[in-house]
Amino acid sequence: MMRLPKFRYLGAKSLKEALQALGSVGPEGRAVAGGTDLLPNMKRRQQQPKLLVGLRQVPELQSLSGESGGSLGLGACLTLSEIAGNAALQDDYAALSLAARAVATPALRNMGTLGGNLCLDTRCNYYCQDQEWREALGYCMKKDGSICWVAPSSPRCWAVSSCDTAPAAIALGARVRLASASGRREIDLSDLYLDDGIRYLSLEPGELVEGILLPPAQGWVSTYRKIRRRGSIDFPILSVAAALKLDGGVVEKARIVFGAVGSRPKQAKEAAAFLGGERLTAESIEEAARLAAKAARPLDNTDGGLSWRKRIAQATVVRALEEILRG
Amino acid sequence: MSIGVNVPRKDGQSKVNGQAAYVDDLSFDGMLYGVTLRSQIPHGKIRAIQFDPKFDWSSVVVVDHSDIPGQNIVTLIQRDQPFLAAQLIRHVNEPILLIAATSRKKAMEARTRIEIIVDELPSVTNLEKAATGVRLYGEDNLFKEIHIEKGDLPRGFAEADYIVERTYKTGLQEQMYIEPQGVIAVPGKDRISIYGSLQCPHYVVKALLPLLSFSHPDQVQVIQMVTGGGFGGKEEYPNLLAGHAALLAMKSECPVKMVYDRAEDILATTKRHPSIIRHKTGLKSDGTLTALAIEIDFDGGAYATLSEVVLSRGCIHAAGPYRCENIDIVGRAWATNNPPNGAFRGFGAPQTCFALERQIDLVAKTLGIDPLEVRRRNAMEPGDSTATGQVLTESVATHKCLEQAVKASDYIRKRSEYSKLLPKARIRRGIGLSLFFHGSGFTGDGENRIRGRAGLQVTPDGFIEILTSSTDIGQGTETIFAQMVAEELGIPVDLCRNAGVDTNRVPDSGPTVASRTCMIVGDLVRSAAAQLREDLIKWLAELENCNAEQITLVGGCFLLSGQRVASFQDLAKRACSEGGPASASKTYVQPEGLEWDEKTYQGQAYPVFSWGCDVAEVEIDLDTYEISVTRFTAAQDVGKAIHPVMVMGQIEGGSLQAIGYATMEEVLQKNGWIENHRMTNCLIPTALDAPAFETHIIEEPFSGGPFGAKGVGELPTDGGAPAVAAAIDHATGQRFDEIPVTPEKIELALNP
Amino acid sequence: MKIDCTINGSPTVLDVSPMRRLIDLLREEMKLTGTKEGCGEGECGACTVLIDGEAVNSCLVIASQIQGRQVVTIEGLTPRSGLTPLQESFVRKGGLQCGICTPGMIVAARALLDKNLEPDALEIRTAIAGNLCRCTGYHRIVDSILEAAELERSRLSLVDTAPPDL
Repeated sequence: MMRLPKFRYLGAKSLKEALQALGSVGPEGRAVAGGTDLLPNMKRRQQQPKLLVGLRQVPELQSLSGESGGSLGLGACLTLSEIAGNAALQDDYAALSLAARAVATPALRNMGTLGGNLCLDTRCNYYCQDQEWREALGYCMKKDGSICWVAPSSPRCWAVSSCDTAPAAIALGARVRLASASGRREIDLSDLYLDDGIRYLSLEPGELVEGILLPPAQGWVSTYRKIRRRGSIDFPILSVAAALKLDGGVVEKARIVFGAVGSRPKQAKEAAAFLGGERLTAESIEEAARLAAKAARPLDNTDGGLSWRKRIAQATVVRALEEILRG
Repeated sequence: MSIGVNVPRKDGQSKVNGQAAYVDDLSFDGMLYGVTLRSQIPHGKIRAIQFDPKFDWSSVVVVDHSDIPGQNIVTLIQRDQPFLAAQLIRHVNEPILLIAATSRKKAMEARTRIEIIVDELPSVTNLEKAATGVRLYGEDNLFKEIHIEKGDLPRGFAEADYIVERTYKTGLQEQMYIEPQGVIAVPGKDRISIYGSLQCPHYVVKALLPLLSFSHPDQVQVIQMVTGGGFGGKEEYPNLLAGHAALLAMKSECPVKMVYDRAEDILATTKRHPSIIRHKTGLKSDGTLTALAIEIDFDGGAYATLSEVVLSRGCIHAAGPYRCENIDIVGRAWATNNPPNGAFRGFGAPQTCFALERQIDLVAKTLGIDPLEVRRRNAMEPGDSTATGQVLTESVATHKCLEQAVKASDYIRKRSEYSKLLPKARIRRGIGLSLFFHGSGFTGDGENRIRGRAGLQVTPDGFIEILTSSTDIGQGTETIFAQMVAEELGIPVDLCRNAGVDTNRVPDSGPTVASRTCMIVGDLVRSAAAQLREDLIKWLAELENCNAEQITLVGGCFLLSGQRVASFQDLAKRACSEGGPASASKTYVQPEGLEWDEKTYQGQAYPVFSWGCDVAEVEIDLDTYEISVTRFTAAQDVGKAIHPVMVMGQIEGGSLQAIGYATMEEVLQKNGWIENHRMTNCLIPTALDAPAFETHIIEEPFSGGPFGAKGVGELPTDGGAPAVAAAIDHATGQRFDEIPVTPEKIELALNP
Repeated sequence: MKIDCTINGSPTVLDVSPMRRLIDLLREEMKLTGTKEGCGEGECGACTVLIDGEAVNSCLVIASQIQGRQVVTIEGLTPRSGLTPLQESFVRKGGLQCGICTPGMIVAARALLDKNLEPDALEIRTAIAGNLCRCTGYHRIVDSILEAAELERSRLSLVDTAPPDL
C-alpha cells in the first residue's frame, strides 16, 4: 500500500544528540516523535527529509514539571493522551486538556505528541493530496510548485494551521522553549507561528520545540471548542480557545484564539481588550464574539464550505464564553 | 430448535482471534504483485504509449489489450466494457496497462516510467447534460429506459384536489467496505485459480472464460476468501480485477496478487448512482393519493455495468408501499464519462425511496396533517396492488411496522413537543419517519433464469456439509444455512458446516445479491435437507424392514415406532460408508402462477416484499449548523428472523449507511475526477456519529420462504435517509430535498 | 538496522530497514496477519495494535519506533485455546460481521478495559472512535464491550473473594 520514501533514521538518546544531529544535517533533517503527521505526509511525498531524528527516547522531552510560581512545564514529547489524561491539566488548564482530547483518534493521540501537534504541518486542499494528484495539477508553491491555487495571484501560501493544541496553549498564555545545538531561547508561543503557509514556524534551522511553559493558572478559567464534520478523526473546520481571568464575575484579562482560520492561530485581540473590565453577561459575550469574529477570515481551502466556516466563528465564541460563564 | 435462536456465528471465533484468512493474508511462492496504469482523462483516444528506455523492462511483466487471448469484454449484461482500454478512453482511471513485478514497489516504479499520449475528446460528466452532450452510447446515451404504467394518470390528476411537484437529488455514495478489493490469480496448465474478496464467484467464472478463451467452466476456479465487506461493491467489480490478475498471471506464469489501496479503490470502483428524481403527485383533501408521476434519472457512468438492473429495481420501488391506482414511472440510466456506477446495497431503491418519502412528507404538509397520518391512510394492505400491478396476497406488514416504530420511538409525543420548542432554543430537535419496502430476490422471472442450486453432502464423520456459492461477506450466510439444515433435520447446528465457496466444488446458487440469499438459496438448502431426511428415513426403513412412516427423526435421533434406533450422526456415517443416501441437492423451481412481463413491467415483480418503518431523531445546532442523529428506531419485517442478533445487525448497519448517505457521505466529482479519494475526506460515520439504535424485528411470515423468512440485506438502506431528512426538516423548519444534507446546506437554507 | 523489541511477549530481534512500517513487519516478517490494513493513513483503525499497552495505528509506526518496546497484536490477545471474554462477547452480542475491523476493534477495546473496567457507552464510543466499522452500525460493538467489561469485573471479584488455595 502506501510506502515511505527512503530516509535514514537516528533514534536520539539525549537532547544533545538530537540537536547535534539536526544541527549538522541541515534542512534535509526532520525531528520526529509520534510521526502521525510527518509519516503520512512523507507517504504522499509532501515532505521528503533524508534524515529523521527520533525524539521518543529523549528523556528531557518527556518531562511534566511544576515550576516556581505555580507554572507548569510540559515536555514536547508528552503524548496527546498523556496531556488529555492529566488530572491537573483538566482542572487548571482545561482548554489545553480539551484540545488534546479533540485531536484525531485515541490511537493517534497515543503516538502523537504535544510538540508534534504544535508543529503540525499547515493544510490545504491543494497540498494535502497524494503526489499524483498534485502532479496532475502542476503542484503548488508549498511543495514543488510556484503558484498558490487558492489565490493564484498571491505571493504567499495560504495553507491553514489546523492544530488543536496551539490555540488552546496560546489562550493560556504559554511560552515555548526552543533548543538548538547552539543554545536555548524562550518566546511567547504565539510568536512561534508566522502568517505564512510554508514558513509557518519561526524555528531557526536545527532548532526544535523542547516544551511549553504554562503560567500559573490562578484565577483563570478556560475552554476549547472544536467544530468538525464527525465526532472524531477530523481536523478542525474551526476552533476557538478562550481563557479569562475572572474576579467575581468581572473579566480581568482575556484571550480568545481561533484555530483553522489562517496560516497561524489567530488571536482576537480587539475582543479580548473589550472584555477587560467587563462583567461577563449575555450582552458582553455577544459583543465580544462580534468583535472576535472579525479576526476570523478563513479562505476556501480546507474542509468545510467557506460560508459555513465564516458564519460559525461568532457563535462558537459565544458558546465558549457562555461555557466559562456557566463555570 | 435452531431457528430464531442466536447460535454462535460459524465464523465468529476465527474473526475475533485474527485467524480468518482474507485475500491479502494469503501468498504463494514466486508470487508477483500487480498494479494498474489508468487513464487521466475522461474521454479520448490513446495515440501512443511510451516506455522509458532507461528502465529495465525485462524485470517486470507488462500486459496490454493485445495480450488478451480471448475477448476484451467484461461479460455482464451489455458487451461494452473492455478489461483494458485499447484505443478509446471513456472515463478517468480506466485501466489501460497492467504491470507485475516481484514487489509492489517495483511494479509502481515501473508504472511511473510509462507515459500514455492521448488525444482528448469532449466529455459529458454532468448528469443534467447527459441527454444533450456528446454521444457516448447508442443513439441517445441511454443505457436503459423503463416505463411503468398503472391505471389512468390524467384521470388521477383530474380527480385530485391538490397537485404537488418537486425535484429530488441524491449523491454519489461509496460502499467503503473496510477491506479494499483484492484477488490473487494462480495460473495452471489451461486453467486459472482466483482467490478473491468477492460476492459472486460464478460471475467471475463467466467473465474469465471468454477473456482467457477457455471453453469449460472448470478451467476457471474461483475461491472466495473471507471477505471484509461488500455491500454490492464486490458484486461485479471483481470480474474486472480478477481478469486483470489472470492476464498478468497467464503472461508471467506466476501467481499474481492485486490488492488495491484505499485511494485506488475509491477512484476506480463502482458506486451508488447519483440521481435526479421528479415527482408530481395528485391527492384528495382526505389524503388519498390519486396519481403518482415519477421521472428518474441515474448517472450510469461510462459503461453499462449493472445500471439497467439498478434502474429497474429503483423504478419498481419508486411508488413505494402506497396504494395508488394511477401511476406513471419513467426511469433512465444515462451514459456519461464518469467512472461507471454499479451495485450498492439497496440497488436503486434508496434513491427512489428517498424521493418518494420526501414527496409524501410534502403531501402531508400540503394537507396540513402529520406525515404519519398520510402514511396510515395510504399504506398498502393485502389485496392492494403495486405499481407493476402485483396484487399483494400475504406477508404485508406496513401497518405493523409503522405502528411499532411510532410507539417505540414515542413519535407522536415528540413530534408535537419538538415543534413547540421555544424559537429561542439554539439546539433544535426534530423527529421524522419513513415507510418503505424492498422486494426479496431477483426481479420478475429472474430466479427462473438463474435457476440456483444448492446441495448437501454427508461427510464420513457424519457431519452435513452445505454446498452453495452464496458468499458470507459478514451478513452471516454460513450460520443461517447451518441453522436451517439443523432445524429441518432436527440435529444440532454444530453438525452442519459450510463447504466454503470454491466454484470447482460447489453448485452455482446464483449471486449473493438482491436480498435473495436467505429466502431463495436458504429455501434450496432447507428443501435439500428435507430431501436428505426423507432419503435417510427410507434407507433406514429398508435396513430395518419397516415402513418409512414408522420412522421419525426427532432431537437428532431416528425413532422407530417411538424407539431410538440410531443417532443421526451414526446413520449418516453409515450412509456415507455403505452407499446410502449421502447427498441431496435442489434446483430452484419457479412457483406456479408467477407472471412477469419484462417489456411492460407488469406482473409479479418479486415473490414477496419486506417492509419497514424508520424513525430518526436529530439535533441541529442553529448556530454552528452541526447535525447529530441522536436516536434511530427501526421496525422492519423480515418474515422470520432466522438469527435475530444478525438480523438486528443487518438493520443497524444498513441504517447507519443510510444515515451517512443523508448527512455526510458524498463522493465529489469534478470533470470526471473524484476529488475526495481518501478516508480523510471521503467520510463514513464513526462510533461517535452513530446514534443509539432501537431495533424491532417484525415477523409477518411468507409461505414461500424458509421458515417464513424473507430478505433483509437491502431493506435497511432504503428508509434511513428520508427519515433523517424529515427530522432535519422538523428541527429547522426548512425543507431538504437533496442529500447529503450537510451543515453547509443547512447554513445556506437558514441564511438565504 | 537491528531492532530489539518484544512481540506478543516474545523477545524479538529484527534486522530491518528503519522505514519499514510496523504493520508490514508484523504481517510479512512475523506472519501475524490478524492485523489488517484498511487505509494506510491512520484513518480506519483496522491496523490497531498495542505498544506498551497503548493502542496505536501500526500503519503509521515505523520499525525504529518500536526499539525496546512491547508490541501486542490480536494474536497476542488470544489465549492458546478458546477465546477471552472480550472476544466471546463480540461473537455472542453481534459485535462483528465481516470481521475486517474486528482485530483492531478488539485491540482498541482491550486498551480501554485495561484502564477502565467500568466504561459507559460514551467512553466506549470515544475509545473506538478511530476504528471504523461499515457493517454493524457500532451499536452491537458497544454492547459487546459493555458485556465484556461486566464479565471481567465479575471475574475479578471472583478472584478477590476466592480462598487463597484456589
